[in-house]
Amino acid sequence: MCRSRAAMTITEAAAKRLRSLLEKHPESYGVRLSLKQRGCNGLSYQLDYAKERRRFEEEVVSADGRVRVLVDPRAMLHVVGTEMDYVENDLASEFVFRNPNAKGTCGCGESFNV
Amino acid sequence: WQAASRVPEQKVSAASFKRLLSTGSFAKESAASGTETMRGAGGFSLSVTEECVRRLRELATRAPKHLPFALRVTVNSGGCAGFQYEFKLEHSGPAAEDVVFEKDGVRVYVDAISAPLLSGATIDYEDELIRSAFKVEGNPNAEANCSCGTSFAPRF
Repeated sequence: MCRSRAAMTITEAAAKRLRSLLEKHPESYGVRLSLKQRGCNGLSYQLDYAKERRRFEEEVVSADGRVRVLVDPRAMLHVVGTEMDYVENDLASEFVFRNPNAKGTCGCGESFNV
Repeated sequence: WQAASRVPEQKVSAASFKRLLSTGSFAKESAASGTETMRGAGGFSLSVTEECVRRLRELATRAPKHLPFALRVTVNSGGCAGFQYEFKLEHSGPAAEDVVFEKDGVRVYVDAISAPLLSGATIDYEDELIRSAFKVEGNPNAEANCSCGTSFAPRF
């Protein structure tokens, strides 16, 4: 199969944050992005440390090639085309997902529907 | 008001205590043993977790030394459950109508309208892989919470 584009993009800020997180977890292969049936708008993103790549998981590598995000196959359909970014201020720092498939999001931005 | 907000704590019976133990939520409670309760004017109280204190101290070291430093927690309308919590860092003294909570150099300002809607709650700084942020937990004045925890429906 010819794959011309990555399923997801990781911004510079997100890659930098992931790098520093993964340095503290050297046993991790990368992080796993999955979706949970939760939140007032149906689905919410979940991130976990991943020890290995599982079958059928899509691997997205950051532009610098140093961090890997594994996308759960069940989440793939909903997150394709998403940009993963990291925003930080004094009160909160979080990964944000700009998802072109989301038809609606929750006010706090944690959940969405497709 | 103070007495009313404390009633649920006294209601813990032997049976519910056992249930707490078995469901594991007891472990979660005891994990927050570093939680400090602060008392403010008007009988209002507010707790801060160890993590919250640690984060505020960290932020205070980066703040201008000659100015006061406090965390402001406000209850505003909005969010999917009707009311939402808002956090802000303050570099000035409290306003006349503010309720000030203070403990070990950590200060929290809550305005007079928000204070009765927040009294008895705990301010935490959650540190997770996907997000690190201040949050309000265990608000006895909330009847329902939004799953993300930023909004709630008050108990009237």
